[in-house]
Formats: sequence, structure tokens, C-alpha cells
Amino acid sequence: MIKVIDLWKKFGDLEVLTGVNIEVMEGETFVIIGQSGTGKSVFLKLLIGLLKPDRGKIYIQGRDITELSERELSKLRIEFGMVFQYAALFDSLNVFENVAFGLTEHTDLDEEHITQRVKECLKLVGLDGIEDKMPAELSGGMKKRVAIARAIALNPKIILYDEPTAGLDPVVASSINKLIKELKEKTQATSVVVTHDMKSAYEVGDRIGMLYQGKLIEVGNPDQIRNTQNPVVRQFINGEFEGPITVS
Amino acid sequence: MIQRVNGFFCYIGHVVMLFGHTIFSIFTKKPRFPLIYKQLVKIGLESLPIVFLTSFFTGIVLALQSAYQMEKLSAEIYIAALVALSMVRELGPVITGLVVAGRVGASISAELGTMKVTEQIDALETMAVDPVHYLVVPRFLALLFMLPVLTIYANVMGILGGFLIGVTKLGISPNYYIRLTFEALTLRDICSGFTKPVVFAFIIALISCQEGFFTKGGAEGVGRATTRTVVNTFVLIIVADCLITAVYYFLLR
Ligand SMILES: Nc1ncnc2c1ncn2[C@@H]1O[C@H](COP(=O)(O)OP(=O)(O)OP(=O)(O)O)[C@@H](O)[C@H]1O
Ligand SMILES: [Mg+2]
Repeated sequence: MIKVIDLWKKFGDLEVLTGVNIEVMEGETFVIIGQSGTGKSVFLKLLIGLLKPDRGKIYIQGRDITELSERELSKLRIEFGMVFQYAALFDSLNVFENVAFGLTEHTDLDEEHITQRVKECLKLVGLDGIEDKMPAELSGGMKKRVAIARAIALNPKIILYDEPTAGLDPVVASSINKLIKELKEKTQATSVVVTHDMKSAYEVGDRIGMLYQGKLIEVGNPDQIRNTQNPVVRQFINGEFEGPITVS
Repeated sequence: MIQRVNGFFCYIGHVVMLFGHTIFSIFTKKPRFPLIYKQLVKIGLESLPIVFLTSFFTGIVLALQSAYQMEKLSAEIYIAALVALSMVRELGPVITGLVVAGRVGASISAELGTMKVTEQIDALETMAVDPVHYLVVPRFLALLFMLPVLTIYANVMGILGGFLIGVTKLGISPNYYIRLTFEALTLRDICSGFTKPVVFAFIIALISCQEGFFTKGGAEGVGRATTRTVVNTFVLIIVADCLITAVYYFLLR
């Protein structure tokens, strides 16, 4: 479904990714963990073609997206849903219009069906009756959930979540975890989830990979990760100050 | 130094590319009428008061200032022609261009710049919507239509300002003043007066959208983009005005 081979990306002199390899199977949820600033968001943006890699290949459903034209890429993106780290809601549109955006752009649904689908999506993320609010009137956690609703409205085959539970209270966070799992069951969507939240990572992930110094240093299922011998991963998942990772 | 020159050509290159992309989108994609309508209102209607104020008072000042000189020669009746020609050829287009650049250009680049730094433009792309078609085309079309309209409005208001002085202070009869005004204007003046707002609309739309799209670095970056938009459009408008005037003077007489 998603296959990444030897992916490199730098900004100026800053080497962010130095040879990432991943293969994500159809219907799988792959969680990427890693320190702040290691390039997790950059990686997601590369997957959806917002950034171009310096080197490497990204195959989505067998097609190398680094070689697609803008138009083909745009067509492919309809099958993607992306939840941005800071929600990225359109602030000139209200909540309803935000969630309905993909539906009005890319389907022929009439108003009634769109309204129905928007309500459904908002309910899935636990928000009801806020359709008329503007993004500026929402709390950070609410924005995040609207962003998730917007990303899933078109029933995408691939969903990219950039820290879906960051900034949410523990109860809502677990409802989002549940939602990610439910969506996977219901729509067979393939997901890539970036997170710092280890509880969420264990809960939603079929496999977890840790990004460190530009590479995926360890990949495994939640149990393997929990019992890893790799000192870097151990330090990260246990949140210890002492260890090979230094905070500069 | 080389870097600056290089940067300058890069900038021009980006603007030209944005222009090409905009024109391509206009002709190949379905127009977004609600968005165009919204921009027409925002750019046109909401600029009326400030355009009125600046041009009306310019007309008055123009008439008063020249009245000083003309009185010495007892040539007050030439004031009608002077105000009409200055407004239509020069001041109407330029004042409107500058006012709209300051009011609309700045707000476009602030809005698009904020959308850029908050990843809303990335979000548009991930939802398979072309940001140029969604954001630039409606603003571009609205400016292209509204700037000439606002300029005509400014011309009329400026002439009205002159009329007010001519009739009340200089004692020219209203009918005579109007006849003098129309006699003074030739087709060439009207044409040059129309070329300018069209060119200015291109400048304002492309520079402000370009600055917005290339905004980096949070709120500070948005501020920088807005400032650059105002400075660059002002300079370009003045330069373009000079060139167009020269072209009409030397080539199209
Ligand atoms: N557009 C860009 N231009 C220049 N540098 C960038 C850009 N985007 C990201 N970076 C740099 O790339 C590095 C990785 O950024 P990224 O946002 O992917 O981190 P992250 O792993 O998502 O961190 P966090 O967990 O804090 O969100 C950072 O050092 C950042 O400064
Ligand atoms: Mg990030």
C-alpha cells in the first residue's frame, strides 16, 4: 500500500531524513514515534507530496508519487485524508463548511446528503451542534477533532494523522484512539499515525516505528517495542532523562 | 550583490509563473462564482468610501491650487479642463491604484500569508484543491474588474470636486463647466486612463498573492510579507504609470 525506499530530505544544511525505509500494508495502522523535531511531520508531508524528497522513492498503491504530475498527484490525494498537527482548519469557513469541503469539491452529493455526512463525521469525533461556529471560536482540542472529521469525510483509503491526540484530555484522547481503530475496522483504511503519546501508540498501532536521527531505528509490534533492548527506544518510551538521547 | 540580483530574478520568475498558472486556471477550470462574488464585494464595494474621500478632495485641491495661478492670467475657465485631464489621465488611476494597493493588496497578502503559515494552503492541496484556482483567481478577477470601475468612480468624484470649486468660488456657470470638461477630454485620454487600472490590477493581485504564498516564519513573517507587498506594489505602480504615460506620449499620439 505504502512503500518508502531510502528517503532523504534536508532543509538547507539541516539533514532531517537520512534514508527512511517503511512498508505499510493495506489496512494496517503504522505508528511513528520520535522526538520533537526529528522530522515526523516532514515525513507525512512527503508521503502526501506536499514536500519533494531529495532522494528516494515513495510508492502509494504501486505508483511512485515523486514522479507524478501535479494533476495525477491531485487525483491521488482525494484518496488521502490528512490531519495536520495544528488542525489547519480554513478559518474563513465555519465548522460545517470545513467538514463539508471535500464533499462539495469532489462529490455530486446534494445538500441533504452532505449535511447528513457532516453530522455523522462530527458525531464520530464527539462533536455535536457546533456546525455554525468559526474555527477561531473553538478550543485547541475541538479544532483537532474537527480536523479529524474533515479528514475522514470522504472515506479515504489512506489516513495520515499528525499527533491526533496531542492537546486533548485523556478521556477524549481515548475516544479518538477508539475512533482510529473503528475506522480501520469499518473502512479498512490504511493509517499512518505520528504521535508522542505512548498509550495511544500501543493502543492503535499494529506496528510502531521509532524515528531517530533521520532513520527508523526500530520497527515492531507494540509488544516488541515495549520489551525492546534498544537503549534509545527504551529511553524514549519510558520517558527517562538519562540515556543516549540528549536534550540540547 | 550577485545574490540580490539573483533573488530579484527569482522573484520576477515566481510572479510570472503565478501569472501563467492564474491565466491557465481561469481558462481551464470551472469558475468559482461565490468566491468571485465575495471578492468583488470586498474589493470593490468596501473601497468606495476611501476612494471617494481621496479623489473628491484631490479634485478640490487641484482646482484651488490652480486657481491661484490662473487668477493672475484671468484664465480661470481653464480650470475645468485642467482638473478633468489631470484626474482622468493621471490622478484618478494612480490614487485609486495606491489606495487599493494599500487597502486590498495588504489584506490579501496578510490573509494568504496567515493561511500559509498555519498550513491551510497545504491543507487545500491535500484536499486536491488548487490553491491558485481557489485563492488567487477570484482575487485576480475581482481586482481586474473593480479597479477600472473604481477608477471611473474616482475620476467622476475628482471632477465633481473641481466642479464644486469652479462653480462656487470662481463663478463659472454649471453648464459651461460641464461643457468645458467634456470638450477637454479626448479618446486618447480615456484610453490611457483605462490602460492604467488594468495594469495596476495585475500588479496588485500578483504581488500580493505571491507574497502571501511565500510567507515564512509565523506572525512576523506575515507582517514582513504585508509590508513588502505595500512597498513593492507602490513602487511598481508609480513606475508602470510613468511607462504607460510615456508610451502614450511618444508612441500613440
Ligand atoms: N519548511 C521547512 N523549512 C525548513 N525547515 C523545516 C521545514 N519544515 C520542517 N523543518 C525542520 O525540519 C525538522 C523536522 O521538523 P518536523 O516538523 O518534521 O518535526 P516533528 O518531528 O514533527 O516535531 P514535533 O513532534 O515537534 O511536531 C525541524 O528541525 C524543522 O526545523
Ligand atoms: Mg510535527
